[in-house]
Amino acid sequence: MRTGLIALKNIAFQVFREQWKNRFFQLIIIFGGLIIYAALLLGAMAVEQEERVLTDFGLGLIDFVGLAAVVFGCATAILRDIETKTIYLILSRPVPRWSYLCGKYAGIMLTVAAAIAAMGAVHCSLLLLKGFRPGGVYFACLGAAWLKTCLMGGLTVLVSLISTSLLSSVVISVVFWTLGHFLAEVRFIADHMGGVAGLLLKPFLYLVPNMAVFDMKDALSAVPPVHAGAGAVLGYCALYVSVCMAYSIWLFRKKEF
Amino acid sequence: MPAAVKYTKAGKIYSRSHLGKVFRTKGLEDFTLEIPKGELFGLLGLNGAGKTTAMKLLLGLLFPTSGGVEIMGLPAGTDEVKRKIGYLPELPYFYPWLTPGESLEFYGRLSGAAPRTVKTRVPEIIKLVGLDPHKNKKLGEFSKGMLQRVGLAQALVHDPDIIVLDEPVSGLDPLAIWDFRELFTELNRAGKTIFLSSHSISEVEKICHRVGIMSGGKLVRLLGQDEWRGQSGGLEVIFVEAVKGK
Repeated sequence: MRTGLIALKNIAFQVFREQWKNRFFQLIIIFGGLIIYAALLLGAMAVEQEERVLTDFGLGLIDFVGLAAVVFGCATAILRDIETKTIYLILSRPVPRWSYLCGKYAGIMLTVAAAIAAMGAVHCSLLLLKGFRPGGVYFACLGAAWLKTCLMGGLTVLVSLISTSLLSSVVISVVFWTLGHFLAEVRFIADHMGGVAGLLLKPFLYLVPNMAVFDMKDALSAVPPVHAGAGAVLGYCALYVSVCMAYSIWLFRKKEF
Repeated sequence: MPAAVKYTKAGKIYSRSHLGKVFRTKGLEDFTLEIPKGELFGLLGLNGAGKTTAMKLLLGLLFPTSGGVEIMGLPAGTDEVKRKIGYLPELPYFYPWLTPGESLEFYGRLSGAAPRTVKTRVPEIIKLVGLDPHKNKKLGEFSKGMLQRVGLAQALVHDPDIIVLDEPVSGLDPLAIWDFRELFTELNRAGKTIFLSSHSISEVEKICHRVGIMSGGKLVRLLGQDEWRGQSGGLEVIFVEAVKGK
C-alpha cells in the first residue's frame, strides 16, 4: 500500500509538470485575453448590470475552460501513454495499476485546481480594477467549479477506458456534462415519455451526474438560500468520483499493453 | 537455485472483438524456456515471431492465456518480481523537457528505490551509459542514439538483477552499437542476467551465451555458443534454416 501511495504521488506530480508545460499557460493566456476583451465590451454595453454580467461571464468562462482542460486531460492521459509506450516504462515497474490510474487523475485535478485558481485571480483582479468587490459566494463558486471538474474527471477516465477513441471519449463526456446541467428537465421528459424509450431513459438518467448541485451562484444569492449544504455537495462529488474510479480500476487491472 | 527466467508451456492468444465477432491471433504457443542466473540470452526472430510478446509476459504487460511464467521462482507480473527487472522497450519515449537526470530520478523513484539511493545512483548511471557530457541538456535535444542510452539507463537505475532489452541496438550507429555491446558484456560480468531480443544476428552471435530462434510464436531452436561457432556460415545459416523450417 505504501509503495502504491508513493508511486501515486510521483505520477501525480509528473502529470502536473507535464500539464503545466503543455497546456497551463495557454489556458491562462486565452482566459486572460478573453476576460479583458469581455470587460471592455461589457463595460460599454451593460452599464447598469456591469458587475453581475462581468461576474457571471467570468465564472462561466472559468467553468468552461476547466471542463475543457479536464475532459481533454483525462481522455488523453492514458491514451497518450499507450501511444508513446511510456506506459511500458511505468507498469513494468512495481507500480500497482490503481496507483497509476489514481496518480494520473490526481495530477490532472491538481493542474485544473491551479488553473482555476489562476483564472480566478485574473478575474478577481479585473473585478477589483472595475471597483467591484467579489464576496464569499464568488469563492464558493470557484470551489464548486473545481468540484465539478473533479466529477467530470472521474467520469472521463472511466469513459476513456470503455470507449475506443479519443473523440468518442470527449463526445460522451460532454454529453453527460450537458445532460447533467438539464437533469431536472430531462427527467421530466422521461417521466412523460411512454414506450420503450421512456423505460430505457429513466434508468440511464441515474448514471448522469446532477450538475445543478454545483451551481452556487443563483442558489446562494437567493433569499433564503435554497442550496444544499457544502457537505452534501462534497459528499455527492466524492461518491460519484469513487464509483467511477473504482470501476475504472476494475477495468484497468487486466488491461493489456 | 531457481532459474532467473522460466516459461512453462506459455501461450498467448490475442482476442479482438469487432461488431460482435471475436478475432483471435496467436502470439505465443507452447513456449518453454529457462534462462539461468547470470546468462546472456538472445532471442532471434522475424517481425511478429513473438519476441516482444514473450518479454511482455515477463513484465505483466500481457497475461498468458495458458502455461506459466516465473522469475526467480516467483510468478511474473507481481510487484515483488518487477523490482528485480529492468526493461528497455523498443524505441522508448521520454518527456522532452526533462534532463536525463530528472527523467532517471522519476523512474528510479517509481522502481521503489529510496530517494537518497536514487540521488547517488543517477549520476553513476549517466556516466555508465556515456551521457555525462550531455547531462544538462533537455531530452528534446537528444538524438535517437542518445535517447536509447537514456532508455538503457532507466532500465539500470534501480540496479536490477535481470535486464530485459527489446531490440536494444535497433537504429543505432556503429559506434553506439559497439558501446552497447561493451556495456552488456560488462553488466553480465557483474552478475546480471541479460535477456535481449534482436533482429541483428551478428550482434547476438557476438555476445550471447545461448540463443533461441522464434518463428510463428514458437521457439523453434535453442542453441549454445559452441553450436554456431563451429558451424560454417555461423548463426545466420542456422537462423535461416530454422525459420524456413528446414
